[in-house]
Amino acid sequence: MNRGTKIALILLRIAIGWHFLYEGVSKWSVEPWQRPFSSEPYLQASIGPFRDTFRGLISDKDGLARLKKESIEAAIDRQHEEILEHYSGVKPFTDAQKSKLKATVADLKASLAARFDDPDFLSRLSEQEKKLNDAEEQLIDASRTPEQRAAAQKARDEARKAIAKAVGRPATLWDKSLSREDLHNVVVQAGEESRFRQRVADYQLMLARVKEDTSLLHAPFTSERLNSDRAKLAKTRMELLAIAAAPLVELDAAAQKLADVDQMRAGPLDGLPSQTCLLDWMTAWGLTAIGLGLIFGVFTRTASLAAAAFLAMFYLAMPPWPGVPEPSLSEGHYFLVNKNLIEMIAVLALASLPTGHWFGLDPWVERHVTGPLRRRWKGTKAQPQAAAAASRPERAAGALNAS
Amino acid sequence: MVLTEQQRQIGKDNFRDALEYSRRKFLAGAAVGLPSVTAFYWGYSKITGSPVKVGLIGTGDQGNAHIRSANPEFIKIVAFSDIRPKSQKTARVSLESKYGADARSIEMYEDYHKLLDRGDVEMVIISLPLHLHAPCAIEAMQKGKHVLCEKLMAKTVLDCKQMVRAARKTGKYLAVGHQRHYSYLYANALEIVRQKDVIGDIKHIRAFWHRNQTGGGKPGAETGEFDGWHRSIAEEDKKVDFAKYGYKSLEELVRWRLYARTGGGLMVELGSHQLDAVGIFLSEVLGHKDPKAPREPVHPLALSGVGSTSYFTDGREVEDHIFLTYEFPQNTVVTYSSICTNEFDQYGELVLGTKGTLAVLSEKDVYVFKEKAPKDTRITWAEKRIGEAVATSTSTAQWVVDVGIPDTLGSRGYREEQEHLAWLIRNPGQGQPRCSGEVALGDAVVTLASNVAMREKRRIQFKKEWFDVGSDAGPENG
Repeated sequence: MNRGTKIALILLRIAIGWHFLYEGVSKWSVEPWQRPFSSEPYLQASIGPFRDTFRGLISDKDGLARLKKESIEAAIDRQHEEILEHYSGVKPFTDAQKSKLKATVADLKASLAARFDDPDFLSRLSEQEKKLNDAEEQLIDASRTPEQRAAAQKARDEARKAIAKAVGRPATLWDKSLSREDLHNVVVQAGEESRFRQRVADYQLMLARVKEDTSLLHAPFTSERLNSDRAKLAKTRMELLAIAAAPLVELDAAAQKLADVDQMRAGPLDGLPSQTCLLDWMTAWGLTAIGLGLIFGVFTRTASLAAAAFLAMFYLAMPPWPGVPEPSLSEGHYFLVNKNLIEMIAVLALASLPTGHWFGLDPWVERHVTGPLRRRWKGTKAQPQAAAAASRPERAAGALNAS
Repeated sequence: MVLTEQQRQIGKDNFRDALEYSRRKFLAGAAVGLPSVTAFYWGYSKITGSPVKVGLIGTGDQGNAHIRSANPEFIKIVAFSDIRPKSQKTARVSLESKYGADARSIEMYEDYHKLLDRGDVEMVIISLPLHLHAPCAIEAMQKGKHVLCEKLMAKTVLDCKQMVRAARKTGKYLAVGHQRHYSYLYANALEIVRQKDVIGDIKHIRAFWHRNQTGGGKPGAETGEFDGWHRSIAEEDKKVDFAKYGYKSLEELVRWRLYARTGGGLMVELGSHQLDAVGIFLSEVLGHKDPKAPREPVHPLALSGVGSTSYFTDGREVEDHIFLTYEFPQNTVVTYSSICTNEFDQYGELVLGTKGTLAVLSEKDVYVFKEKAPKDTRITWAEKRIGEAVATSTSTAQWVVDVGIPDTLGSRGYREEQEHLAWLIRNPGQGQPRCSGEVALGDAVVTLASNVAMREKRRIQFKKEWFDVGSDAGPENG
């Protein structure tokens, strides 16, 4: 193999390494105000024959477990504990703060129960709204005495508080500047949310129908319908999960309101855990490690094989095969072969060559890390062969350098 | 001022055409290389070296605006100070969203004197109530910090002068936050004022800031319920030891703008900005006899005014309606009004010339209208002039439109005033902040004299020594 070929192959390896490294780094080095990386949207968007396999990697992929009232309550309790722990890292909550937080937790749970189970929820909510409106009417009536006005102001504030509590927003819905129209919209929205159970039931029905449909995927129109159903399901899932997560956001806001300025140094609470934490971690750091390995020629062959495995997964998650719809975001047109496949074949070719010894730290690693380790391992198993094993790495390295 | 959609469009087109014409002329004579936007407008560029370490003193509304505007490449806030828990908490939230987890190491001091004792702080931003500007700024400069102080510079003219003297004695920079000095909008508007054939002779400028703080005339609004300056007192602020920091009551601390000891009323809070803008415009028109020479600041010769507390009954010590008339050189008259009971006019400055009107509205829109054009106020001359032979390439003209004009919308100038001061600290000897102590002193004299005129109900003639740093004289003491 001539020198030019070697240089080209090493450049190929470094380029692929850089691609991996940059992808990896961009996944874990997000700015504080950005959402952390999650592989969930990618897996959810998987298409083709392995769709279920890839989506199966997401825990609770349809969100059904998180949409139960009990699990929302459990999540509130978890959040409650997390808040106490979060601030205790800087300055623990005082007893007064703790009891206020506890009251908020109780309010949130009560509101949850009322919205989900109380058939009279809506009528009681509109009663409160009527009280509020009556008070507002009195306030714009110039003929009222100051005392009457003060009483009306008090009634208005009480009605507002009651509405905020009822709709499950005791901490964030206490704003003087909210107009009557804004509050009315909040009430309307709470009405929508009170149909939560019904909507979850509808969602389950639709999930079941889509599942059945996959067996009938022959005619083009069925696949079209399936795709539109899937989009509808994804939208409904997002909406329902947002309602389920709302009490946690509220609790977080309540805690921030309670915290004093020293406690605020703890910073904001971490967002809700992703449904793919382990996978996210593995993806971000795996890509980074492979990238470093390929660039610096450390464990080059292992890194190359691992890179090929990653690329195989990316290829299969959205394969450009006949009958598989095109992914919604694609920068080119592919049939059978796409860039993932090409990069995978290239990296497999690299795995078959000792490029880490042409240019890289592999010889050094072998001499100082893997060699001694291997010797020690073999030494404990078979003492007599130790001397022979000791001389091997140098020979191996020398032989490859000569090739 | 209410304009129809069509009028707005025509006004904008006129402005854009006129500006493009003046830019083409400028670029035709200017160097070939294109400067960066900030270099083009304000004369500074990217900072070299580490960001300047800043202490932020006072984290109310304005302090938070400073955090939000901060450019981490230029300034790194290392400490902040406030005595109100509510403001402290708001600052923590803003800092976290600006600097992320790094913000958690930012030290908080209740007492700003302790912040000033920190050796590593290079520059302080002061956004305290008015009566504290002078003592805090002077102490900061004496302790070796450069100062960016919010407007109005100080409570009295003598205080202002002592600030300038302290800056001269210590050799520290003193910048004052009249942000219109760093506003792209006003810089571009100024280019129009400079063109005699667009606006013509200017004999009158009308400035106004009209707000409706009555909730639309709701009963009981006299108590200040709908007035932004009549803040409700947050639960967590009720335990503040206000007396320890010299306040007479919690109300005086939270609603400091309403009290004579701590604030200066509409003229200080709103009028000073607009008189500053008027001063910038008129200095351009009246200030230089020789177009090549640097312009001199132009100050009014006399003023008279009326002010009244005619609506609110919440015990405020400042006016809720003010009306002032300023007599500038060459018989140019400026009127200013600020009221709290009607917002039809909103806020802005109208430069009324013989050939056209320049309207800068709400610090975000600028329009040019032609005079004596009953049907269509479009300025056709601009289109004609653009066709004249000008030695600029198309690509340069593109830059004029793309880089120059859209910036009129972007920034109100807070970021630029911070950046420029930080840049000066890293590049000493490269000039002064655009609104230095000397410049701000002029604004303070006009503003504070207006309050004296209204409160004493008399016509005031400005004296030269009021604007002289060396003299102790000011409108308050004759």
